Amino acid sequence: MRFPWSRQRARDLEDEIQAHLAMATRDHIERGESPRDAAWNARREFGNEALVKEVTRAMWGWSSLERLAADVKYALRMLRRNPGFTLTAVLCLGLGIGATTATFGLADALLFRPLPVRDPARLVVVTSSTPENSSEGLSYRDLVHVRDHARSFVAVTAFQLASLTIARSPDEVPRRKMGMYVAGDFFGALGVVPVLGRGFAPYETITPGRDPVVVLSHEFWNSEFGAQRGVIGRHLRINGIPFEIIGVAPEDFAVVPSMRPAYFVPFTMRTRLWPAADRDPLEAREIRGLNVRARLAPSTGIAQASAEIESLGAALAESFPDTHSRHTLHVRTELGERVAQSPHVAVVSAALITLAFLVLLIACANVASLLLARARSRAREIAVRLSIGASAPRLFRQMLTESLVLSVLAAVVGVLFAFAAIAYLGSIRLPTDTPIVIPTQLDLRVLLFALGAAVLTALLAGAMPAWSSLRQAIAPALKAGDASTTGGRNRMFARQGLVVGQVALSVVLLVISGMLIDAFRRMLILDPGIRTTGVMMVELDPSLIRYTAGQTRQFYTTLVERARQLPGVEAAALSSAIPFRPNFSDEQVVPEGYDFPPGQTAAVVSSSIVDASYFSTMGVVLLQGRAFASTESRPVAIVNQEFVRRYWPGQEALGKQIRIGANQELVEVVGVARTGKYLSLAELPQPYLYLPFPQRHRSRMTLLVQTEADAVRMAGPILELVRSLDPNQPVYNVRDLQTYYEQGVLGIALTAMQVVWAMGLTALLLASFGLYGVISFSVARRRREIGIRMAIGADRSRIRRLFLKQGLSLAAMGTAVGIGLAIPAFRAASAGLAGLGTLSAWTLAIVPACLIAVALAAACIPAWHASRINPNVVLRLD
Amino acid sequence: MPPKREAYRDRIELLQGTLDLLILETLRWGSFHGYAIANSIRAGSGDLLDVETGSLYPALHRLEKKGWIRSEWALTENNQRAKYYTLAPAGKKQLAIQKSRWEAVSGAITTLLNRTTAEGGA
Repeated sequence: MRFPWSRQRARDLEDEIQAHLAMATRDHIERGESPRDAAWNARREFGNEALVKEVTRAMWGWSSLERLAADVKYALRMLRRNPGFTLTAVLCLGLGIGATTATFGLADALLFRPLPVRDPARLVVVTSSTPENSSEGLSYRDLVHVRDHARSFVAVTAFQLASLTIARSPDEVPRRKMGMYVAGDFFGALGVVPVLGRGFAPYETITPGRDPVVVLSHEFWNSEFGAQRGVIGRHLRINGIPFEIIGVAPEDFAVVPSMRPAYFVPFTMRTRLWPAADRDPLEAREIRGLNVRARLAPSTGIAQASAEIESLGAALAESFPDTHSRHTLHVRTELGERVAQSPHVAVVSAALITLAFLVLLIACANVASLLLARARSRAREIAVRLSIGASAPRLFRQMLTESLVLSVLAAVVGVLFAFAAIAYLGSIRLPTDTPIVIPTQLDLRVLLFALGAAVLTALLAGAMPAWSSLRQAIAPALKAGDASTTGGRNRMFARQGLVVGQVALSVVLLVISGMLIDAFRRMLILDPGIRTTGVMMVELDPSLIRYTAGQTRQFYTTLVERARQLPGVEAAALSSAIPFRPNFSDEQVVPEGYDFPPGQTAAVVSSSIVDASYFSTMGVVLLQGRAFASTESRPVAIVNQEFVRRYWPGQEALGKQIRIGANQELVEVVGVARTGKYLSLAELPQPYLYLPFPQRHRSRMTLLVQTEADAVRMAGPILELVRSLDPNQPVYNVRDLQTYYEQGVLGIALTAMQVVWAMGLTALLLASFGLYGVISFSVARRRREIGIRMAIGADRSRIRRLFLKQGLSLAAMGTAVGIGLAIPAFRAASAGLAGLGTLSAWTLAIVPACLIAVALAAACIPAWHASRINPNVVLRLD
Repeated sequence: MPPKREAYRDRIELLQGTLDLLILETLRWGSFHGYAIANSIRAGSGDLLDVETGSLYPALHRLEKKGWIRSEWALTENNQRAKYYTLAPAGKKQLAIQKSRWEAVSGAITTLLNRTTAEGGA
């Protein structure tokens, strides 16, 4: 390859030489020769023109870029000449790089990616902690205190999720949308400049209830206002109050990576938007709902800020012992906060990345072993090149370039794999109106990661073979050819060990994914504890249009009565929560007669408020006692079997009393329901508490309508009914239970299974490549021996069997080790996932059988090659 | 790197050094193109040293790369466009160094040869 500047120099040299020839010719003519003779003689005297140019060009030296280009060209030529090797190596590394890149992309989206704000590294999180909860927010008063007193920060802001109704005009039906309350100069503190209009001015975030101003998210501005620039100054009705639109946030702005709130309003408007609250969150120091972000002052470290904030927290605890005695304040990094908020995400990410790196490592080992096998056959070529003057560092660099080219090709393949995987992960929609997204994307960070992985891979896979082939080549290869195996035994043993390890790892992964499939199959036929078909669900919240408690109760009672009368409806019920959605409330309970361990005075149990027909409508079986009556004369509750097993083992539960909540209200147990699944199908049995409607109610309830007909067809009549009761009543999450269950509950389990399954298959594929490599290598090493065997009478099938046996024994060893590892690994996994059940003999039989079959197939090709060796050729060659 | 190659390279460098010295010395008298330098060395050495173009041009380009000589395109008296080389300041310094080194080496070799001849003849 030639570059422009060297092309210019080549032209210069050509001119220089032509000038030389012209002058020499002229001299010859002056000496009396004919022009033809003169030209010929000048040329003869000059010598080999091409050679002169060649050696002169060499004087310029090669720029390192030209050298790289030449190496790359040479590498590409070598790779083209060995398409089988190239394909295998590129696929191997591609799988490894793809797996790591995809998992990094996922982890990046969930954990690592910094916020899209100015200088995110200087932004820290302030939280309050109790011994039970390490990551609570701050109250508004505490936030103000920190903002006014902390000298470590140049800006302090906070946010809280809000779920309010919005309407563009007074006559539009309000819809619920998620947004954020924000405190102080939110955008200024984050260093985010609105793309349109402005952020909040200081005077707009001080006086409670005075400033109805709103900043829209870019997405919301796009979808609701068609991205009109004239939107500034117009009004958006939030919970019925007209808010002036003052700005539009930048695209993809997020302060919590997975949340895309539609609007931002000052926290000072909270009490006006939500007057039903019994204590004013602007005043009450025990309402700690604010997520605080602060920007460190220049030259202030996080440790310094931490120390200051901790002492501020201690001072607060002294001033307000009632509400702060158990709380301490802390400063964390954004990453630290994300890990603290969702430790399971961190654990899963770490596990997946570890797994993926293992896969990459296996891939590297494979390719290294392929390169080693090839290095042997190239030893002679290298020795010749060394002896005719190529320098060893130059050859080393060239061989490294070769593996670099390989791994860059593999990175391309890997990124394609990763792209498919990420597109798939991105397509998973969590079944809720809350705009939670997994912001996976193939951005620059992920691509850089892939490139880094490729370079690392090239070094890991390429350096050792290149070094070893040089060492081999320098001394004995010229003389001894391929036959010498001194020192090779250990390396061979190590490589066989590697293959055994690979097979074992893929056995572990396959057994676990086999178990998951098995568990999934059972999950499908498993009774989740509720009816999953023929039910339509609608969520409502009359408090959004300012219903009083009495009005709300009345509304729901009428609604469910009328719903029952709709044609085609079998049953209708109300519930404050539906299974598999974390929207039930946690209730503090003290079961009668239960002795808590020291230091604990109450238990926290998930609970929901349901009406009398909930149990029959949703098919929840009552094992003892009765369902709720439509009116109860005294406070009652229904518990599940697990509750009884845990708190009243071996006792009669009916008639027992429980103290509930902060005011210790006494309720009597009137029924025991069968334990179902509440949050995930894989969960362990959880205690659960049902409380009766209308004795209690919540403003946000779900209407469940059961029908024999297609449930989806009930959506129209139900909405019609709601409108007829109150045309302004907001309605959301209208969906049928079957779709919700299949997509939202089974879908997630299915995805988790697929990820592990894909890892298992990748490992299997790589293990078969590894096996192929090792057998190929062994064939290459033993060519002479094979030749001799054949010369003294071994037939081809015997030679084939020799290598098949080798492959088979390696696979068998790996499988045995893998099964040995899989059993404890499975035990560990099943401790956390109840759905896994027991090890099925079925999986334990299928996986090894598959592996052996794949191993045989992988060993077949080199074995066949071995059997095609011509003893005449091999024996003469050396 | 194998030791054999080191020795080989040393030999080349010695030869190159000699040619470099001759080129630098020639350019001390003005700027010349390659053809003129070759003629001048041949004529100046009484036709004893015939510089091959295969050595001359690499040497010129190498010296230019080192910054010891400079080049520019100009017309000869016969209106032929040619590349003229001129001694650069660094080249002048090098010339002095190489010249004294050459004198030392050749003096030493002469002494050595004379002694050997004397002993051998005794």
